[in-house]
Amino acid sequence: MGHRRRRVAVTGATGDLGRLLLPRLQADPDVEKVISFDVSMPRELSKKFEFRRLDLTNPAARDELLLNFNDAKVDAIFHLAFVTSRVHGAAFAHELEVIGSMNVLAAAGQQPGVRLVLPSLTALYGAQASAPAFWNEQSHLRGCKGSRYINDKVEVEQQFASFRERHPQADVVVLRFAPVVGPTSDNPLTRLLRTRLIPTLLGYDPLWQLLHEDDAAQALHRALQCAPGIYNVAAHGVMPLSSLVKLAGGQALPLPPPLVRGLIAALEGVGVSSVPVPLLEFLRYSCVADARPALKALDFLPRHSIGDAVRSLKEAVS
Amino acid sequence: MSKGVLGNDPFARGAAANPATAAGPAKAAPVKPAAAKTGKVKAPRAARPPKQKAAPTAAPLPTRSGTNHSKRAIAAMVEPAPTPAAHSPPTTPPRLAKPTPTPTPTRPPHPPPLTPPKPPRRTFTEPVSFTLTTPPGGHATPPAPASKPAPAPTRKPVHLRLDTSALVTAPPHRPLRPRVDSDPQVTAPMPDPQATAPTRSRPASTRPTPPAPRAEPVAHAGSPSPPADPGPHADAPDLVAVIGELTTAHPGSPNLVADVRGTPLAHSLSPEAVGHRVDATTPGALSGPGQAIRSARAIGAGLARPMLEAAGGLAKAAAAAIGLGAPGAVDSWGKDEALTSRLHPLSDFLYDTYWRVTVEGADQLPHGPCLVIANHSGALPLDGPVLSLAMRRERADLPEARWLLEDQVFHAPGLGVLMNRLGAVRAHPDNARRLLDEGRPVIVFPEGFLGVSKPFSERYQLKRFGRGGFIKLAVRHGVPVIPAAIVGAEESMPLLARLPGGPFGLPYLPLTPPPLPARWHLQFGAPIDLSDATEAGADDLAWVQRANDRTRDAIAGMLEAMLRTRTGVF
Repeated sequence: MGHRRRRVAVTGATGDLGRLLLPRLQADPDVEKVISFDVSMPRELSKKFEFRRLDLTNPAARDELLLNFNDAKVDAIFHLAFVTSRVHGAAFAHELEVIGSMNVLAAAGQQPGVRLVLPSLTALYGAQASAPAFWNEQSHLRGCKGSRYINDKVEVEQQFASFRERHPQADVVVLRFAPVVGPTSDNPLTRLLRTRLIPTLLGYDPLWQLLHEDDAAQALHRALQCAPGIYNVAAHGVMPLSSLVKLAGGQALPLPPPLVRGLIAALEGVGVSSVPVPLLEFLRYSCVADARPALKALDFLPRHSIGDAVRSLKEAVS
Repeated sequence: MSKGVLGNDPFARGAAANPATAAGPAKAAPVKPAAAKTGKVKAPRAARPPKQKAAPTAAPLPTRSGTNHSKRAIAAMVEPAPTPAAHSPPTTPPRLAKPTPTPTPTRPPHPPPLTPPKPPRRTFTEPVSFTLTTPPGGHATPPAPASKPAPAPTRKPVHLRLDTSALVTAPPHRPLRPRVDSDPQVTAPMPDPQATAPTRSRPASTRPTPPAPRAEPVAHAGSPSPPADPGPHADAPDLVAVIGELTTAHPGSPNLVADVRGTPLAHSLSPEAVGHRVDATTPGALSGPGQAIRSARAIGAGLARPMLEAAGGLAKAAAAAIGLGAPGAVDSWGKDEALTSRLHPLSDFLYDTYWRVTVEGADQLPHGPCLVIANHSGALPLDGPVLSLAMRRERADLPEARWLLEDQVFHAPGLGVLMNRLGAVRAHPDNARRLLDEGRPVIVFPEGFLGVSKPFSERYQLKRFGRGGFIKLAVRHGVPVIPAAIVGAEESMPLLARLPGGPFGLPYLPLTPPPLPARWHLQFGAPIDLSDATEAGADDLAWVQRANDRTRDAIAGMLEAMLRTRTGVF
């Protein structure tokens, strides 16, 4: 791995994770060149960076990627082009995540020995009654019935798994992040936690893990050198949802589950979007992953505990 | 087996039978049902080594020093006869008139005879009969019955004699009454039952401190022992007796003593004393409901302060249950140590005073990780917390135990969250493995939901022990399997009916009274012999089933024996 300086490709460079990763790559003397792909240009670019405007949902994207990968002789590809915000419609998001990943993998398959890094989610294990207290990396990804946000990502992971089988020589690193929060993150959880009054399910207080966005970016960076495999990445500690709400400065409002569902449906009928109903399962059952293997494999210790992570959310708001 | 045992069950027994049995107590009977109970109970109490409660009471008693009124009243009552009471002569005289007629007389006799180890509960009935005879010879004899009386007799004899003389005239009925309701009679001197309770405790405490605190006799004598106190004793004989009972248990069971130490708060609280008293009376009481009501009343009155303290913890628990817990920190399994600490006053009270948990065979628990296999007991899933609490108290050298909880409970709204915060872990092989890897004892209820949901009529009848998963786990992990039996929870929380729980998201809504003050008894057995495991080990399903049945039989045997020897449910 480390004989010559790395040439790195990054898709979705302007997303939450890309924004945090690029500065780290820039500061990394081991990284010789970074080619970023996105529909819009990242803010700061040094000589190290090259930008290629690319729409992954475009059928021509695969060929364009292949051309660029071959030209630059990339050693590693960060595939970060995933939808976390709500601005895109569900159909577009599906195109981008599933079809976009297919294009990336097709192009990467032509690069022998390339390293593929995919940020994923521990939420893909699912919040289920039958879950063990700790998921491990070998656990089956059960997803979340009815949630595109979750299930599209499960499908992407499946693509990566079959890619791994087809290309045993490729190094595939999948990092399953606990829900990422931080001052700049924007995803369903941070939107929920930034609400003043947070409806929760009466009689349920599931355990959660979090990951600070800085730690997520650092873990991604470390993925350049770690042994290939799948790793759960989470901040130290677990907390009940009620504690997260409190630390985030909100007020939990426990309501009977049927009432919450009705409320959400009514809000959506009026055009106000809130938490997708299928994700309510995460307010009911715990979804906690065992993140111990990652500590050793990635040689990295999250700098922010779960408490710090959720508090960082509050600071950003204020 | 359970049926045979059920004979002991108050629910099964006719309350009437008890009164009939206790012919002697008839006198007492008029006063209250307790008297009848006492008659029956006496034997059982005697048989039962004084429970831990006694010890705790003794400890707390010293602490309580505020109940001067009751003491004085008692002293007054006693004093008249014994005049010698120098300490409280002034106060006593006025009171003497009132108290003397009532219970005082009876009580004095009781102390000496009662003094014997387990009399406390009996006190009610026995005291009466004994009193008359005992007073004179009682001093000499009492020591014999109660091994510990030695110290007490010396001091008490005088008081007792005095009391007896005065009391002789007094009918046994009155004494009984005072014991239970002594407060009203004593009212002038002793305002509240609560006050009385503390009084009792105080004397007991003082007594124990000097010589042998635990001996009931000590307690009885103890009250007299302080020269000034003689008066109070007369009034508080019942209380003293109760205390004595409570204390008596101490000598036998070191655990009890430990418990007492462990629960200073609970003890310090007058409620304990009240609770003890209640217990003492209750044991004799035939009817569970009656006892429950009485105990509830006494506890309510006497425990006001402690309850306030515990109320905070309860409120916290309720908040946690509905999803507003917001604990500052939980461990990786979801246990909230802060909440557990806040519930300590309550759990200690329940453990020491209300359920009077006794533990046997805790030395069977190994130092390393192990699987503790127990029977589910009671309509509410409190057997896990109590068992783990017992293990923490009896074996502080072991890592904290966790118990596995079936989905139906673990995911029940409210209840599941609360259990999780208190240390429950969802029953899953991965979770058990991880807990064992942490070196903890893991409590398993292989009956699962079937065990929780069985009706009261099937109490202590073990359900199928799952599929033997715990045997496989033990073999693969190389950890011992310790059988444990829990008796008492079924009567504490009888499952009377299963109401539809659909609207609440529950498989059913258990219809059960608020936890009743039945005595709990926990027993750990010798490790199950798994040495005959074949090479296939956990993969030899036939052997797994045999080992599974062996474990079940071991627990069934322990249950049967415990139920057979049980002298009373409450």
